Amino acid sequence: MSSSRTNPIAVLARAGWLKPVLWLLVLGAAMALRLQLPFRATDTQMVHGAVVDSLLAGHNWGRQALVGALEYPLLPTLGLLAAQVLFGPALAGMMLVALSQAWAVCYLLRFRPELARRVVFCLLLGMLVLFLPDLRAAMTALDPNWVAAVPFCAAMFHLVRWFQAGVLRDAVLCAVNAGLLAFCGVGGVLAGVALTLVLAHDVRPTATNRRLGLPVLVWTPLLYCLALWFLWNWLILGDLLFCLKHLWNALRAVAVGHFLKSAALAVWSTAPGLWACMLFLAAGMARGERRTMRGVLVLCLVAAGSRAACLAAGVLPGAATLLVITAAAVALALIPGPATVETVGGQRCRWFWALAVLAGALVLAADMRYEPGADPVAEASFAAGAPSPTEITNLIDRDWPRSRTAVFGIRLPALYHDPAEKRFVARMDYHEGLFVEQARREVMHLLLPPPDGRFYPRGDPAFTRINAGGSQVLLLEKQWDSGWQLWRCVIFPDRESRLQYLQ
Amino acid sequence: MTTTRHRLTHPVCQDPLGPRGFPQATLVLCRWQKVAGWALLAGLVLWAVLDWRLELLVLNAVCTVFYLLTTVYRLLLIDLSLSKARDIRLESAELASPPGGVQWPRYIVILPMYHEGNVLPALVDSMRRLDYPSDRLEIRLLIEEDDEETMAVARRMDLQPPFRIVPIPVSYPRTKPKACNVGIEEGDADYLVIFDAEDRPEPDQLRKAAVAFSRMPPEVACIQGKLNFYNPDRNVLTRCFTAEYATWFGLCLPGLDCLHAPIPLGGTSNHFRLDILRRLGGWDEYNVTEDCDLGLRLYIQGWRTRILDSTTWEQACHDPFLWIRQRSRWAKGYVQTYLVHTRDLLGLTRRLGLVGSLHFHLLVGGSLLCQLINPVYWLMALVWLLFRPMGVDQFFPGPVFAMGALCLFAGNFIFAYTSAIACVQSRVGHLARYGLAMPFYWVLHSIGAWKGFLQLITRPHHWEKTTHFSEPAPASPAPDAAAATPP
Repeated sequence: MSSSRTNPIAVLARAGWLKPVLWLLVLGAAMALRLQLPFRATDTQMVHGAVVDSLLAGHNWGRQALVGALEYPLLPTLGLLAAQVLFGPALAGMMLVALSQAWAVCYLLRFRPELARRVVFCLLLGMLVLFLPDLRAAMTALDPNWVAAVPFCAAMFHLVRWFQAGVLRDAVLCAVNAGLLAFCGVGGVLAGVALTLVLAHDVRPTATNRRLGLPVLVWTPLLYCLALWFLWNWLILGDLLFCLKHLWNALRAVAVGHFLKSAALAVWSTAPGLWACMLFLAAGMARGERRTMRGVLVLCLVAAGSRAACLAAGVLPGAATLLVITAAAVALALIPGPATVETVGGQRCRWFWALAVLAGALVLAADMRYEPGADPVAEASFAAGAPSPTEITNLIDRDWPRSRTAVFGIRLPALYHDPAEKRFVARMDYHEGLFVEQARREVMHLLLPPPDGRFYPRGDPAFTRINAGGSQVLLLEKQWDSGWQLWRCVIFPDRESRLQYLQ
Repeated sequence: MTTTRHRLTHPVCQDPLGPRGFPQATLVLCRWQKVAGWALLAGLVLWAVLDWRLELLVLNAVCTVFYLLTTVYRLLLIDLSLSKARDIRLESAELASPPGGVQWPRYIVILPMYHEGNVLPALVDSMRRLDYPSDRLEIRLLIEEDDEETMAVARRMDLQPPFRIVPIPVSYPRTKPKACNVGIEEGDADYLVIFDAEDRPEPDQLRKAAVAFSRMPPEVACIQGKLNFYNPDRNVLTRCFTAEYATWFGLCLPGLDCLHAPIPLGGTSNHFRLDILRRLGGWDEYNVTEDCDLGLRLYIQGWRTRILDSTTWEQACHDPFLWIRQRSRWAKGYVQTYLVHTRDLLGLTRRLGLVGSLHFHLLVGGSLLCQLINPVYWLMALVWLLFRPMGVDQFFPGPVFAMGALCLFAGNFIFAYTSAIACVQSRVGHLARYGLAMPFYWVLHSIGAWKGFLQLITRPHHWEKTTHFSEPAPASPAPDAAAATPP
């Protein structure tokens, strides 16, 4: 028997499995490396974790939170759920983040076939992470939103391959991954729409290219995923547009000046890498690269817009997405288009420009200081100033020992996480009628955070009204200095009375 | 020159389950299958009496796992097909000279017909367009002796060689495979291909197949051409049918080819090495999807089937009732084939290996089972969406619910979306949106599957013949074939 028959590498190569196995090894190595680096706990992880616990316990709030909040989107939560089932609650977050980051880096490495360029890319990425404090912080954050990096990088990778080779599989996979981004929150939806737009523009039927049906293939995954999101909102929350209304309430309370200020901050804190790419491309652009350029341009705008929305409205933990956008755009810049016939001079020119612009960007970025408070959602703890659960239950138990406290929204139930719902009853949406109906069965309290946009949108009509002027069915029991309020429903249960409690 | 007569229609042994020396669909079930069937039924009834809730829960879990497996399998096939399709592609320059450089191999084309005089002129016309040396070609019209209508048309046409009329004596079972076996009992040739009465093969298909055979390893005994329709835009049904064919021949079969899995042959455009086909005993005249059965027998005997990138244009059935008839025959045949090959379940697993038998169960048994149980789940989903009945959740504990939701929201999408991909891939991209509408078309599938399944009990060997209509084929069958260029 010949040696090639027994050699496992030859056997794998013959079966066409050598490349996937090699990439699997690279993925494993990258993941192992990442697990050796530090992780930083985040509130985002805590909220996603609470949703996962609630889902596993079979509670309604878990299902509501899974589909009803764009700031804690579905794919990261499901990723964490899968990781928790596989690795247990202690390791789930770390494994998920490490896997997502390693997977995304593997995609980015595949942009170029040459090993030398891959090494250069790794160095560039490492430099960016080292020098940009914002990116460094995002990289170490224990944030399930890193899951979004995988479909994003996959979509970018296949988009570039589509530009280069025009193979149908790449267009399909780009569209599918862009569709999956619809389950990754506002930033994901925007990135998905941007990628789909770029791809759809490229596949539109023209006089020279009448490959019919491609626009249908390109748009279908994104539209289907969006339709699913609405369907689930209707099925679980009874309101087709629940998540959009929530977003709208958050956005409409943002002052224009505040938004502009945030946008400026977003541009300066996120864009150096992207602008570097733009110039990078412009330096050595050939005719065939314009399509890639268009894609990068759209993504730049999306990245800056998403970041601005994140800072201004507090609805989007965007740091992870941002890092990936930047890195992917850098990788994009390294890729010549299909029509490029690169000369040695052109190549040198391209590299010169690349290094010069990147160096400039890094100098600019290194001058910035990482400020945890700048991004109230992703970085700062939203629990600051909140009364502890014990404090609340002790306070209530003095007069109403069997009362339960209603907590609404997504962050508040996560903060007062009570999977058994013994003392805190979690709901995603507040309807006064349903609350009163519940109060007819048991004594109910309502915990209301201050209207600072951390726990419910500043423009939320119900909570803002209660916070300012109370309600006919509520009595204020206590107001903390931090602005937190504890209300008691004055409707007594039908079959019970306070006297019975006292007896 | 003396010609050998190969006996492909006479019993060679007394075995009622395989009179011609290989397992045949003479009987629906063998003894152990009957016993097992009754035992299963009795067990289910008994279980229902004891604890029907637990029974439903377990059955639901099993079905859900099965759906998930089917979905993953489909995904794998499609991805393999799109990423490394191995279908044989030949350029016209490669077809200029015969393989080996001396002369083209001898080819027999068989055309089984029954009451199809109306389409015969068009068929003859398309056969005349075949670009193959006429002295190396023989085209046999297999016409039943009592089919006076078709025979009269054929005689009126005064066909000259390479055409030859082969009358098929009246005998039972009266099936297409029986006619095919009679048709290849005599004559010598290197290769053989079968076409249906309404087929329009691409003119260079025989040359392509001959060159392909010459380049393939000797274990390749069959080459399957791709099938598509020349009347896709007749109505919604033909559009969906075209999308389905595009998926099967454009994506699934190349994917199976990549996996070295058994390939259930399509009923037409099968090119064989004639000696191997005769050695295998030809087609099973009792099986109503004899093509699927033959593809499996080839695989089990160690022969391989490859896919050729050459299309035969067929006529899509545009009438829902006729379509269901045709589909019920296919469904019945798939059950027949599954039952025939699982008579010796252990032997089959031993011969095919674990992976090979998994392919067999998913392809032949699985696809039909899906069609049979789909209506139950559609109904459940509809009731749940509309009425939210209490108590349903007890049959969907966490993991089952997760898998079920994945199949409902992702699995169905994958199946429909891949049909749209197949339309673009097969250059009928204008039908991509009908690919997305496949879930509605699957209702017809299930009706056909149930009809076929029930007919297996009442009329196991009845051949629900596909009706072909006289319809002019368009000059350019593929609507955007000429314009298909990657960007």
